[in-house]
Amino acid sequence: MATIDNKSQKTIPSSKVQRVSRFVKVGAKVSTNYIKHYAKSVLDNEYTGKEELHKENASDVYEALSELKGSALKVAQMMSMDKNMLPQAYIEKFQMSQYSAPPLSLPLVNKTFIKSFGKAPYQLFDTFSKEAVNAASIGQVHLAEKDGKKYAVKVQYPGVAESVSSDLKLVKPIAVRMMGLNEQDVNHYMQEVEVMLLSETDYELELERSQKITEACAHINNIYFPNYYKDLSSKKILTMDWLDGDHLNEFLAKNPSQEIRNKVGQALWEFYDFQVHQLKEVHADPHPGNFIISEDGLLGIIDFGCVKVIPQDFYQNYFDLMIPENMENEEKRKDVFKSMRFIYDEDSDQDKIFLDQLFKSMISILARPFHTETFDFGDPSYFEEITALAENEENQKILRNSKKPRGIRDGLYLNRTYFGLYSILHQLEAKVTTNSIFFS
Amino acid sequence: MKKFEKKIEISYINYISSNNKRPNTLKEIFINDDSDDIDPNTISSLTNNTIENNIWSNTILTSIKNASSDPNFQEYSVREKLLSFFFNLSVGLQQHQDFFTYSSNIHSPFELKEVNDRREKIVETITPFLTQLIQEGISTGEVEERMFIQDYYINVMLTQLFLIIKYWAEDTSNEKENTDEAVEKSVHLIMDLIGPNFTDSAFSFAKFIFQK
Ligand SMILES: Nc1ncnc2c1ncn2[C@@H]1O[C@H](COP(=O)(O)OP(=O)(O)O)[C@@H](O)[C@H]1O
Repeated sequence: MATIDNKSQKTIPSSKVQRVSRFVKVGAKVSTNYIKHYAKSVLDNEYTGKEELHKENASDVYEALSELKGSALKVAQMMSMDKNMLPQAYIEKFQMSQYSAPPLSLPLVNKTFIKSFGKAPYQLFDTFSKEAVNAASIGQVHLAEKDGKKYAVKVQYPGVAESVSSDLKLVKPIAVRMMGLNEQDVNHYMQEVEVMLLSETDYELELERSQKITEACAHINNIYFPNYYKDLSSKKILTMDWLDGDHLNEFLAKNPSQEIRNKVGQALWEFYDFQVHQLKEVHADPHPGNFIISEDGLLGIIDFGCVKVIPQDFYQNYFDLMIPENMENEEKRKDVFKSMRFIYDEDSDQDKIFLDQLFKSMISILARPFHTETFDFGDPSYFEEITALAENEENQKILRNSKKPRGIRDGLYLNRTYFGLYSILHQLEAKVTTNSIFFS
Repeated sequence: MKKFEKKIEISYINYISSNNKRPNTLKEIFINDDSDDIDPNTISSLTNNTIENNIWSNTILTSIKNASSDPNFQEYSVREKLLSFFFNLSVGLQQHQDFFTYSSNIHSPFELKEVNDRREKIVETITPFLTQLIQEGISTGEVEERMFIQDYYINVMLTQLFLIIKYWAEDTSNEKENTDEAVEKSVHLIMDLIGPNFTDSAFSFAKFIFQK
């Protein structure tokens, strides 16, 4: 597990001015990198340093973001999941942000406890870790013990809710300019993120949701949830059972057998299938930090910060296309693409054809695992296909230059969920029985 | 006697919290109290000013006491001890928010003497604690011995104390969360200033203060 760098504690930038200046600093650095890049490309016709340039920019932006706490970090996290929106170099860097943030001092943790319960942690537990054992996106997790039982206690940074909106405004120009994304898409995306973030700053809400989802999913095999403790929780503090086990990367480092990896993958598949197709609500982002895996392949699920409801009419539209006959039915496909705002009436005929093909292949690829009894997510060719599609220059160009947002937000979110899920299954190299509630 | 003084303080705090002004005479704070433990001699020996100063001083003592009652306190670094004191202080101020907000807002020039008296009383109360922290810091290496300026360390910390109190009184953020941030930042700043390695937390704190 990640340990937290103690020195960084002294330099948590927090004020708006400082955040701005930090981004300005990054901006300057990114441009220097570009200048270097152009200088090289002028001198050397053969220069193919684009990948390298992305890498340099990524570490600068990452450095800046990792010094921020709160929502900027969360945005970095969400972007890191969204293979669609970021070049590969950013993704690698940002994935680190899931595991590191500057910690709060223990006296401040005490203070937060006293505010919530009138008592300090040592009065409520037998032991309480002096340092955070893990960073959460908007807080940190301590390990506590009472009567021989272990608890995970998540404590939120002060002032997070207040800074959500202002942070997002700061992240936007980065996303637009430095990462070369389309402004409409980013606006689109930011709005959604803001709503989710604000609801995530209320741990009481998280507790209620967690209890609900835990009950609803009780029947799914090989997954387990912590119990949550209301009288040891507040808006800023969330207490639950400690789950023993490993994060995905630690789990994989121990070379688990194919059988065990399949078991984890299966549990993950069924957990998401149930959420999307039965509850029609997604309760946890499929990013590796949200899962703790036990040695024998049980999937522990923590963190229900945001719930995304999938509207019924959207659901109908989106998943109708999963059925190959519907996808091949041009009339039907046109309707759906229009109502999902993938394609607009005003688009030129040429663009229409191009976009139709693009979204058709995208959805078909995403739907493929549903069409066979079992699916081998370890198969590299499948993921090469996804990457090729996402990184196709022409596709990127047309989407980026589009003056209108392409795809309604529910669609973006669901795509992200499936991409996230598939990429974890891919890392597990799991063979999964992909039956779905949708087809039954 | 001790008990009665405590009672005076509580009644005085209650009076200001509900009336948002000082009593004309101290008898007023007992106007609804007909118990027989009220000692007129003690009352006549006190003024509004002395009572308020005692409340401030006692709150600081309580904060030190509460901070040190944390079983981890002995193991804390000086930095953490100072943080712990300030967080306990802000809890203490919060307990009687109306009183302390009222009492911090002394502006009129006629009250300058009160401001000075209070300052002196607070300085007198907190100095032994801060001196001890500085000495401890020197022996653990957290605080650098610097000829000439070392005597000013205590003043730096006192200034910080008054800044934090002022910041707290004016903090309109939800549950005064900004004060918590100000405490974390300013303590890190001070400890860096007087510590062996000066880092960029000065910059960080200055930015924080100017934009909030
Ligand atoms: N119940 C738990 N048991 C063990 N570790 C936990 C538990 N809850 C959280 N953690 C650790 O803390 C990290 C962050 O917690 P998480 O709930 O994902 O935070 P957030 O969603 O607020 O970012 C997790 O990745 C995990 O390592």
